[in-house]
Amino acid sequence: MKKTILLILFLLLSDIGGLHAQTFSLITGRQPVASLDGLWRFHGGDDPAWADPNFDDSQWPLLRSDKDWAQQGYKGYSGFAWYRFRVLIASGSDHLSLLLPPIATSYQVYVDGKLIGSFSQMPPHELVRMPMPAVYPMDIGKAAGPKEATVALRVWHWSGWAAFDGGGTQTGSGLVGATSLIEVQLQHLNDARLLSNGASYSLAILTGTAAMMALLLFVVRRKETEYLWFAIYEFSLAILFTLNVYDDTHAVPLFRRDMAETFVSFIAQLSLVFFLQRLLRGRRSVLFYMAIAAVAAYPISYLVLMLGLIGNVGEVGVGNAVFSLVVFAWACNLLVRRAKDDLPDARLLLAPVLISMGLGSASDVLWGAFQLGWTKIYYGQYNLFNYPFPFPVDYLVAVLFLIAMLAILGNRFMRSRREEQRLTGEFAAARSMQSLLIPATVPNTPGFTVESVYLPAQEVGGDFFQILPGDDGSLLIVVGDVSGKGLKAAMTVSTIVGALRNEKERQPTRVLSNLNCVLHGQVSGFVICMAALIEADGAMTLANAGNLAPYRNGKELAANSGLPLGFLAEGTYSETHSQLAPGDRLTFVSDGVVEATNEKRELFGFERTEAISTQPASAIASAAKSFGQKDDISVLSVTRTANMRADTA
Amino acid sequence: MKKTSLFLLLLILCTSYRLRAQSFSLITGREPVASLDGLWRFHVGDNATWANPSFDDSQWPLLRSDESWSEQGYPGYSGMAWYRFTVTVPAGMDSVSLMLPQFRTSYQVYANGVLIGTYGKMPPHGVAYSGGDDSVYALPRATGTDQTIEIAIRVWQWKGWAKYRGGGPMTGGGLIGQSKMVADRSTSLVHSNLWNHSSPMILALLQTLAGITALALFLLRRSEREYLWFSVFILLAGAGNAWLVVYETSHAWNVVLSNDLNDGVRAVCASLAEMLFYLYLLKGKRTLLYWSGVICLFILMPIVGPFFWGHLHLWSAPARNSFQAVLRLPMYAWILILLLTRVRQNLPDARLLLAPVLLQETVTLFQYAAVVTLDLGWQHKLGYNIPMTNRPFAITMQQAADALFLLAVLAILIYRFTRTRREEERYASEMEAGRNMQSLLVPTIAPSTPGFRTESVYFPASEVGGDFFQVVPGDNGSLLIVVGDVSGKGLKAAMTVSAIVGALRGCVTRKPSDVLRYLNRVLCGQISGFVTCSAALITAEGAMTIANAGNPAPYLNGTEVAGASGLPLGILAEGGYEERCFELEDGDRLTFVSDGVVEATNEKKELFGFERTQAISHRPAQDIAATAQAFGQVDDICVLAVTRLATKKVAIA
Repeated sequence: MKKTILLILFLLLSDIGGLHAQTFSLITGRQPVASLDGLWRFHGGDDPAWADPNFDDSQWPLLRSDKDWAQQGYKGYSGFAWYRFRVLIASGSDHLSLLLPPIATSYQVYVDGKLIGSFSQMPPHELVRMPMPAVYPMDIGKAAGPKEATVALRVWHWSGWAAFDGGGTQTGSGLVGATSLIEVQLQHLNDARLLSNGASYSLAILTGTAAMMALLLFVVRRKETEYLWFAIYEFSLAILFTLNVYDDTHAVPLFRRDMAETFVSFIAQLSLVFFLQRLLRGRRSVLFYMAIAAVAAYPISYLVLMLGLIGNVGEVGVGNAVFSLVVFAWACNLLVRRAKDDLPDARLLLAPVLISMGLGSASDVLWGAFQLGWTKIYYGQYNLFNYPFPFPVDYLVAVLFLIAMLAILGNRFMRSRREEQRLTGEFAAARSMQSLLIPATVPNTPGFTVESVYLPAQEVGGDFFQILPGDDGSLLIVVGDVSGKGLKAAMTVSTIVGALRNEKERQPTRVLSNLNCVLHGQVSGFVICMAALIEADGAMTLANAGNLAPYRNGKELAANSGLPLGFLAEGTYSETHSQLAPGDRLTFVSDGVVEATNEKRELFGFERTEAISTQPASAIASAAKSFGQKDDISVLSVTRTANMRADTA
Repeated sequence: MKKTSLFLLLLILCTSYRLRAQSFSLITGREPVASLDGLWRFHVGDNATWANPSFDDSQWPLLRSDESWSEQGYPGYSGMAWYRFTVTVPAGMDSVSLMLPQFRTSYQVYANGVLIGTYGKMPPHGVAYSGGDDSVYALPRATGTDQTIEIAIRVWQWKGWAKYRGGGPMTGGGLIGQSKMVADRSTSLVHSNLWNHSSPMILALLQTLAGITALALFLLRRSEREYLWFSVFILLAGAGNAWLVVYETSHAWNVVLSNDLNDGVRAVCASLAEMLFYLYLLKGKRTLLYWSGVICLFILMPIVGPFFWGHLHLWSAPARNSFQAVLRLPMYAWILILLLTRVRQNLPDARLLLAPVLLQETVTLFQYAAVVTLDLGWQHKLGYNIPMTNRPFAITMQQAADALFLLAVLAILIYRFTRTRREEERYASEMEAGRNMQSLLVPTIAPSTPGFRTESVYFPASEVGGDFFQVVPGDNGSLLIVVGDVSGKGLKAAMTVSAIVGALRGCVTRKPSDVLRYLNRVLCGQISGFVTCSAALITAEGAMTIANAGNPAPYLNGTEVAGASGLPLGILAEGGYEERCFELEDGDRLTFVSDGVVEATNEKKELFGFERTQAISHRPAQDIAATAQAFGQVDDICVLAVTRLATKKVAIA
């Protein structure tokens, strides 16, 4: 017998030396950790004396430490209760800790009558938190021989949970042992719990990213408020998923957490309703207002519960189920109607929204029933897959919804691109059409050198000119500018060119009044225009309808001006006569030259225009363009050639 | 003393009950699990008798069980070696397991000479394996008494990494204990490990979603190749992250094979797709640098890594990693130069990408440098996966840079989306203005025409149309009608219509053949394509003259007015047009339809056709146009109907 004891003592001692030589014993070399699963003394009520190690608890009933007290004869009990058990400690061991399993709701831990820690807060300043495992260092000092420590747990259970969740220990797997091992164990427990919430983590990041993107979209396209509502919706989801995660890393005060969750859920629901309404252009029907009211009813009913006006979590749960069905009905109605109208957005959203809202409503109904104790299961317990982390079915709908929204955006993007491409093609064709009407190559003009440049501000322009050489060696030049820019002006230019093309009349005032006749009542806006007829001998007749005066050899050539074309049914225009000597240069510029504006908001102006008006047409046009083109730029210059005049003479 | 021993015995007995009554002993009630950290006997070489429990290993050196043999006097040793240690198991414990830490490389475990488990593949066909947390091996069932079991581990270290990574156990943490207990510990290790791989998991999820989105965009618009290559690139990157999670957290994988597939195929393809993505996105050129990047990646990379290192053991991992880093340089340089060029050209896509790409490239090269210097033993702090943070889970610099890159590409997509929408809106409003303009030029509200009632309908196929008509009442009570159709559709045709309307406005003559000749002169050489047109002059007395230039003949009271037709306008400079004369009775109705009516096509590709057109030609203009449109509009639809009123004639008479 002595030998045995010696052996045991020897083995106990060898345990202390950190490294074992070659032999590892499961009899004597076990890790210094013991399970706390078993029977604990239990007593309802509250008495400070029960913390005392010397208190005799032998008459207290024994309860299993891996089940709550409701399952062991104390159904529905809330308020204070105590657990007591003893821990046997080997001599010389220090740095021991307790790893306590989740215990509902708050508790304090006493070792040998001394308070060593607590979870959450006890009445009178009670705080309700989600139970979770926690580690408490025991601080018992070095003992000479083996010793016994008494652990007493003073537990308080919240009445709000007592109806459907029992108090005290829930799952078991508490430990006592060397602090280093216990802490590793807690770390593993925490990691496993975090992992079990991997779906929440992933979705928080996913929805958060989506929210940022949607917000960015809204910022650049303020008119499309559906992006804003979508951003708010996704952001609320991100907060809700983050709250889920936060629960597992921090002991969160339940009321504050639930208030936050309720508020954010409310925002999420509301933004979802507004998002669908905006996106699908839903009317503000009675059902819509009912849906809004139902969304608002959820936080109100929760507030009522918190204020204690109605008693039961279950009743609120059932109320919520009814509210969510109203919202579901509205969304169903709107989506189905729009899908029937062949709206692609509605068809893309139909399945995900109906599934998500349908499952949401079903889950609310089941949860209400569960809280009332009608059913034992509630939805949300089912996982789609378990590796690498469990993924609950109801999380799938958030992903589906996101994918549907991505599809909607993709569809819109691609439709826009197609449309943009089609219209780009259209405008390119229009431009080629215009280049036929206002040709870059000048017709053969004996006796004159004509240069022309035409630089529209957009694809097509509202400036125009026509160079019409006559059989008698004369040259009729018509230049002008349609008010406005772009396509509308370009179509008016076409009309003008069509009218000028076969013009038999060469008298400038008649040309203008004929054009006026054609344009009156046919155009919105007006047209400024100048016609100039230069005879072969250099005699020039000008008629002006509001156009800029031309430059002759760098000097402005004043010309009387009538009203622009298109204002009055009968326009009358006066003639101005002048003479072009051989080598003289006449330059017409459109107001796009004068009104070119640089980054400092300076105008190119008349002075600068006049100063460069002797330069070639292309030089003038490119000077104005590089200064800062704002409007169509066209420049036309005519030089009377000397030798031709000699021929005629 | 007797009392004490009895007490101890009692306590030992107590522990065998499943539930302990309110007393939990750390002396006798310990969890049935013991650590294997300590000293193990070690011997290099290979001998089958070393598995034998009765073999005397007392002369073997003792090595720590929590680090490799390289660190304990056997640096660089590869090949076979044995570890031995003894475990004692109490009587009555029915199921006991060993949990071994990660070993390099493959091993077999013997308990009392019996093989109880293998990790990886042993020689003669030794294959390096890595990863996995499932190295738990059940010991043979215990007999009735306390039992001593000799454990022998036969280890094979792969030559491929012997020079820079030691063989044998990599860490401590081995356990022996009751099987359930050991399984629980192993599971929590797996969970912990999985949790710490959250970052690649989430990145894989985001990358996969982005890849699918990009692929969908490409499928909708095949011409935009950058979406295809981005999707290939990002899906392969996502696959890489998913693979990392599976490789490091599930079971053991063949190191050489996974290196071949991951480094030799996946990473190479991903890098190529990345280059193609930049090539299409930034409209880069296939320069010499581009081709050297492609050659480095596609030809040299698989040779340097998988082939020379993995299969031929030509060089060690530091050399391989250095080569791989250098082989990436041409690609990085090409991408950076391309990006910088485009940034200088103010391309917004390039500006959004510059910072993330720079960061990504720097981090990748830094990571390579860290691994190379670690394997060379120059530093010991930084290794694979340099972490930025460890809470709530490990996030490496590489992962953060990858996430940032993904965000930048998303931003590019959003930028493109909004730019496209803006352009579309601008064009659409231009078109709207064009349409307004055209409704002034081709007004559907007819001018006052004494003696005649005119109805007109104009349905362009797109925003603006190429059909036209003009109704010009004369001072003498006559009516000149010109209807026509410019070849082609859309804006180009609409501009021609404007020119025709302008020309008609300035036209002095009212004689139909002259009107056509005049228009022909205006149009010749000024338009591409041609114009079909007919002109009709109806006097107050009902005498009608009609000339036609290739236009469909009108219907008189539901019957086609046959007549010779000249060439369409705009083809020959000098064309002559024949005139025909008719008499219009009171109440007679003349209907012009454009070929958009006749050529309306339904879903079965049937034409509306002349018969149907003729059958409905006596109906109101609005009806005819609506019928053709409902049948299936493919071209501009224009219908003009003129009815000669009886009253007027009486008044004149």
